[in-house]
Amino acid sequence: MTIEVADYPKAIQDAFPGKEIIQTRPTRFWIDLQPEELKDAVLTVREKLGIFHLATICGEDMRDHILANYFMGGKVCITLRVHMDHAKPTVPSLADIVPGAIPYERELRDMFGIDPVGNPDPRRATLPEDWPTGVYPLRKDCHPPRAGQAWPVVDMKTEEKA
Amino acid sequence: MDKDTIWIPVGPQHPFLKEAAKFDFDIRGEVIVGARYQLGYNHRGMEKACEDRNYYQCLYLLERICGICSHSHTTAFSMAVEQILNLELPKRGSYLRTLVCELERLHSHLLWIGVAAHEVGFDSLFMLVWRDREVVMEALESITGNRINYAINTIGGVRRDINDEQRVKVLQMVKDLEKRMAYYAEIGTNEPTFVNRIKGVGTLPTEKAKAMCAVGPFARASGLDLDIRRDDPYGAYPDLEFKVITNDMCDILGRVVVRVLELLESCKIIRQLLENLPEGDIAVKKVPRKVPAGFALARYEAPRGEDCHYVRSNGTDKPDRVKVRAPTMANLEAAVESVIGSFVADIPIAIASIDPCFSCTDRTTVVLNDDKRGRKITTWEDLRKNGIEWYRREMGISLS
Repeated sequence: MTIEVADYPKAIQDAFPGKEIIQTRPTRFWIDLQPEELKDAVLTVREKLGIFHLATICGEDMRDHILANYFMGGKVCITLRVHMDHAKPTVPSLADIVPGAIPYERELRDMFGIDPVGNPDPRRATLPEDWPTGVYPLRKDCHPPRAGQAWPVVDMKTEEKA
Repeated sequence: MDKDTIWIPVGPQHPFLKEAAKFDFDIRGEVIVGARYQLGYNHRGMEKACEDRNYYQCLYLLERICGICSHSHTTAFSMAVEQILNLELPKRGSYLRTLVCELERLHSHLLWIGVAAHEVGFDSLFMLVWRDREVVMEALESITGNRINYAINTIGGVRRDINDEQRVKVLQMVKDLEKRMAYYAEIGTNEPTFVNRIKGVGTLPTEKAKAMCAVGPFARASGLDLDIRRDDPYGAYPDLEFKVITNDMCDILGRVVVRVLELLESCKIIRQLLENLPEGDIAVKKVPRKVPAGFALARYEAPRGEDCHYVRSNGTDKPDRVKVRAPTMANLEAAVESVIGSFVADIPIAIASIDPCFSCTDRTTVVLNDDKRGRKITTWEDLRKNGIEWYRREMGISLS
């Protein structure tokens, strides 16, 4: 179904009753959600609002909580923002409805420590294998090293034998 | 894994591409039955580094994510910051920015056609196409001062203007190139040795491309009608007339056709831009240095597909979060899937058909070893002293 750009505000409000829709530009909409509501929200955007494509998933450390932005883009962009605590941030994985989300969720896991429950790929996305667990580079409490400092790097077990 | 299946790694050193990425293929005989990829070798810490730099330094840094699509990243970032600041670009600035976008698309697609021809062994086409690419690089150099990493963007517009002589020169270049591109379109689609090598190879059905969120010419060759220039227009595109090229071939031949026809469309767009270039300013004057708190998402149609930049500002002169999602990241899973069922000899062309740019895809942080393993951190000064000492010791030459 095609919705005109001018009709989107009403269509989105109808599809998400009771939610506050932030609109920063004629073509940009932002909706705040809890983790449990994510999968249904993605399906709603796909089925009722005609936007199929998931552009990317971006994590953010807002200092008092952690955010994951799911950008769905077509003629307009609807961003689903999932709010989580620092302590144990988890989101349900979209791997079964959006297979293209798998690499983005792995990056969330590596960089922010957000656990995508149900993601079939347990490998690291971009960090090296010997990167210590529990150190999440894009969180605000993780600082790049100054001259003479080093990231804590854990020895790999195989190298100890050599 | 049964005993008939062998696992071969390709990469990370020179995986038939000039960038580092590791692929693992499971093969049975000559046929590929499984494929995985591992990135991270070109990760440089850009997103984290942007949080320590002001917006103009970020612009400088983000340009260097990639050499081929450098203008994509600066334009997308500028657009995101301009959205937060609510800036309206003057028409001439917008047109000039779009002109460099399309020239970049020309040079990138010409590069890809040459590289694709090289991967299948058609080196004559590679040489001819890259010779024509030189013409585009000269045009870019005359307008922006550089062949890559143009640094033409600033927040609020462009940095350099063009005079009438440059405008006429670029128009003439485009007219000359159009004839040669028609010739390449002819070869790319009709030359039997080339077509036999790429037809039916690396097939990605439409439904799969849609589910894996593929973007760009890769997706358009699988029948998906996605183009940010038309769907979510920016820059001068609302004023321009152009076609979005799609086809249903779903294989590498389809991707060649899409890119070659896009070259011709880009030439058309450049002619429209230059013939209708409006007068006026090239940039917004007095852009505030401190950006008020806000967030914005900018999408840009890079030569490889949809480039997304998300910027969150916090009232200071440094961004709070910059997220860059390069198009290759969206296409890589789909590309690796599309190789399954082909032969080992098709690996280079099939992966190259997404026009991969791993520099765009990896952005990570710096790791320094510490003393736990008995190695020390070598600083620049140490390297220099070591070098001088080595030459003195081994060759009796004193360099100090």
